[in-house]
Amino acid sequence: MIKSLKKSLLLIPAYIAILLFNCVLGVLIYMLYFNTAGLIAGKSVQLFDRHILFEGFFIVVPIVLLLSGTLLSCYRIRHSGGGILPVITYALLGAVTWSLLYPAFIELKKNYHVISDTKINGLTEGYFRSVDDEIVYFPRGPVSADTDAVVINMNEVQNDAVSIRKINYHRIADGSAPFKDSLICETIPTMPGWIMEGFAAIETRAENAWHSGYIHWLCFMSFGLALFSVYSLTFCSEWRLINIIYLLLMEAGVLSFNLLYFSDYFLSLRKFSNLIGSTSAFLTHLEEPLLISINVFFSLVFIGIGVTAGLTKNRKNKRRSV
Amino acid sequence: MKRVLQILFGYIVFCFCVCLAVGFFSGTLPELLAKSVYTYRLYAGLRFFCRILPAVTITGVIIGFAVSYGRHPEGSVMRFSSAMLGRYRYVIITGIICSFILTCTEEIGTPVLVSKQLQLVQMPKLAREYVRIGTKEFISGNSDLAFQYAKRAAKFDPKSDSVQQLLNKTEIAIKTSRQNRLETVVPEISQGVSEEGYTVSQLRKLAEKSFSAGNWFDAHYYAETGISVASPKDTNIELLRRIAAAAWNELSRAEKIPETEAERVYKLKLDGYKLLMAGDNMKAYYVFKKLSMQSRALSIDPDIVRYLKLANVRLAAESFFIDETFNLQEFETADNIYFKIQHADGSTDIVYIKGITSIKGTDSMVQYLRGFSVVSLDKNGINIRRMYVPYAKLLAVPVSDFDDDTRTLLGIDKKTEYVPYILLRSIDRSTEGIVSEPLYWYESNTAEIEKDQLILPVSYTDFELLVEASKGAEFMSIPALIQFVGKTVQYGYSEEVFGQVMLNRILYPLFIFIIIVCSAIFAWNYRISEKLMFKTVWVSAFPLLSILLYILFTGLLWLYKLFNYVFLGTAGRKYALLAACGVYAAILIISSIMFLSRNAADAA
Repeated sequence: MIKSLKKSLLLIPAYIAILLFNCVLGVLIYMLYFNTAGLIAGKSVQLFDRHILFEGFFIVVPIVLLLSGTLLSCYRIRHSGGGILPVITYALLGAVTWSLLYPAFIELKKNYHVISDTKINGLTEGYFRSVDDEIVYFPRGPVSADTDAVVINMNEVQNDAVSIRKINYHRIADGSAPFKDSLICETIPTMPGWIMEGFAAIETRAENAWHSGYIHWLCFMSFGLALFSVYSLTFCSEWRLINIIYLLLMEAGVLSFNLLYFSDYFLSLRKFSNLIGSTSAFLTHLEEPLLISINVFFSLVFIGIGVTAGLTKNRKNKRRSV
Repeated sequence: MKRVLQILFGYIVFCFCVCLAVGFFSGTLPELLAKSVYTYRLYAGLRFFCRILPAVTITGVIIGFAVSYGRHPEGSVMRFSSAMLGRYRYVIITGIICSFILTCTEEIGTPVLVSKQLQLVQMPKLAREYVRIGTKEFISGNSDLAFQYAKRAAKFDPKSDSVQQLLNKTEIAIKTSRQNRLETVVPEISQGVSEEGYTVSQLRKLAEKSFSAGNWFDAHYYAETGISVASPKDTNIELLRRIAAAAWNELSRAEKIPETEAERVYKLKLDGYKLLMAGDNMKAYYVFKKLSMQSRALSIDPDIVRYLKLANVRLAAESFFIDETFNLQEFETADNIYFKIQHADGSTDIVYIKGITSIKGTDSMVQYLRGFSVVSLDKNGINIRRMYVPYAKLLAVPVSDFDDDTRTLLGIDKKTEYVPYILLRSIDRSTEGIVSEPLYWYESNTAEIEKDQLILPVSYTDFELLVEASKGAEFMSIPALIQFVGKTVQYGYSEEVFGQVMLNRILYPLFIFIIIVCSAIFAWNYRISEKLMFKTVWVSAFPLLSILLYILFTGLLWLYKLFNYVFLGTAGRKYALLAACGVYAAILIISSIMFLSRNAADAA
């Protein structure tokens, strides 16, 4: 019992440490990425940027909160055992995260507005830069507006392949965004858009739900319930490595479904959901009742599987000890 | 260790088979020759395997170690135990093997497979192109060349009707032409008599007689005729040569209006010789070429042959023949090469070459540059001149050929051994006046001497590096990349980009090694329980682990590349490799310590 209590109490500082560590790590990586994205050939890289640090904080924290269930589950698999008390603590921590921490963060974000950096660092002269199918060479710099350049058009008739003409600076800037220099983005793969867009979509949904009232937030919490309940599957196998695989795959599944639900793939399902929503007065107050139902249903399935597996394991252990 | 390797290689072989199956049964095919379809699919499968190999290897390592450690966890009660040290030795061996395999896959396997697939895709196009050129050459009467093209096309697509038709046609044409040649040439040589029916000794006597009589044309004519019909071992030949030369000397002195055909020929020979002496090699070449083409007798005239050859050699340093560039585009080895050349006075030349065909000459490499353009900018970056030529010929010339003043004027470094010498003018082999010369455009009305040759003030080695750099930093060989990184800015390329790719590629084995050590730590933490029976159903979860690890590995690789930029940005190009090595070595040491500090308390 003491061991169980100790394990469950230890879970609280461990959870705080996990959140802090991942937030710091995420913000640092974000800052590193955007500082590299701001690098211009021939100029030195700026490692620390207060502006990007703040911006990174408001982007990374909701992602960490979203993945907190997965991170805490991984910790629990690594430090398993302890009976029912750590499981209860796990559930409580999940509830605190989604009912207090997440809303608190949304409130905090509302008060702090991140002003986007509009400073334009001119491109350096003397380099060949690839822009669409053309190679552009600026003889004079720094380039921050339309300017004359030597342009090599690889598809052009040979005689006119090299020409001198005015280059639209914004075309280059737009083509290489978020990188400031098209040269640098050649070797660093841009962060896949669907990841950032996906998390941004979830964040928007979260903010809308919070600002729309408690009922809406409660509905949104069904997503958190699904994410946290995946932990139950870690009782399925006796080999923890297999549990890790089940956990990560199912977490990815829940996340993907909640993201893809708003895409064209599930258009018919959403139409069906609207149809259900209009059938009763209570359901009209809910946002996407079908999504909530699916999330809750799967949470119950996961918990059911976990409880059954846990009980079976317990019985087996008792039989072995006898 | 044995169990680890068994699981690791067993899993790799399983994934290899799956990848081959995926390659064979999926994906859309490009236009291919019927015989290449299976090879293409095989390469597609292998490429897919190379792509997922890191994730597959890490999966194998994790499962292998997890099973191995689970079955034999003894001796690790305390941290830093000797048992863990023993296990660490195997981790190192596995790390080295995996790093080696994965680096080879990345550096050799994938690029080779990409190029092989590209070759297969190009095969139908090449076969079609060879048939087209071969047919064209056949119509023009060049059966030999047409046959060569037909043979090349047959190598790619032997079953094609068009290839077979061309092959048969050219073969018959060659046989017929050989027979005709034998019929016409052999009797003439074997007879050893002139068109007028004189034997060699008779011709010698006539030449001597004419020479003593001061009839220089006749003397030269009979002597030359004698030389042309005599066999090389004929004892008269030496005397005939002497008479021909002496008569020629006399003729050179005599300046009179030509009256007969022979006099006209001699006059032309004399004109050609004088042009050659005056340095007008192109005109001299056409005089002798015209003469040699007039008749068969003149084509073997020793003077014409000799002076034509001399003119040809001298001309090769000034221009080249247009027909040298026919059909070269299909055999280009590099395309879209561009670089800048910064001059000491601050002016810049922007050079662009659309395509390069390298041909191995007798003593050195010759490169034909297609669509060669140079834009010259003054020190303020304002355009002053643009030059374009459809084809140029590049030769490597030794700097020792230039005196110090020329070298300084051209801005060539003292250490440079060879520089690219570019011939911009090409001429027709037989018709005078057909010339392809560079086109110049000027921004101002300043008149300048338009050159037909150009010496690039860069070393030939650098030029070759620039050609290789045009493929991209990822596709350069590592020695070339290391050599080029220090010169990037000089030629308009980004040091950051090439430096980062260099770090990515050099440190890749170390990166993999760290991942293997971390995988071993993970395997220890999540090892199978000692008493737990291995269930077959778990095997189905391993491919899922590979999928997760593929995502994780892609993320780590992204971070690795990002960090390499940081090393380059903070430590500079010179010390970036050292700094990166230091940091990765530190990570390796920390992960090794973490591995050694594992004990049985990290319960299974």
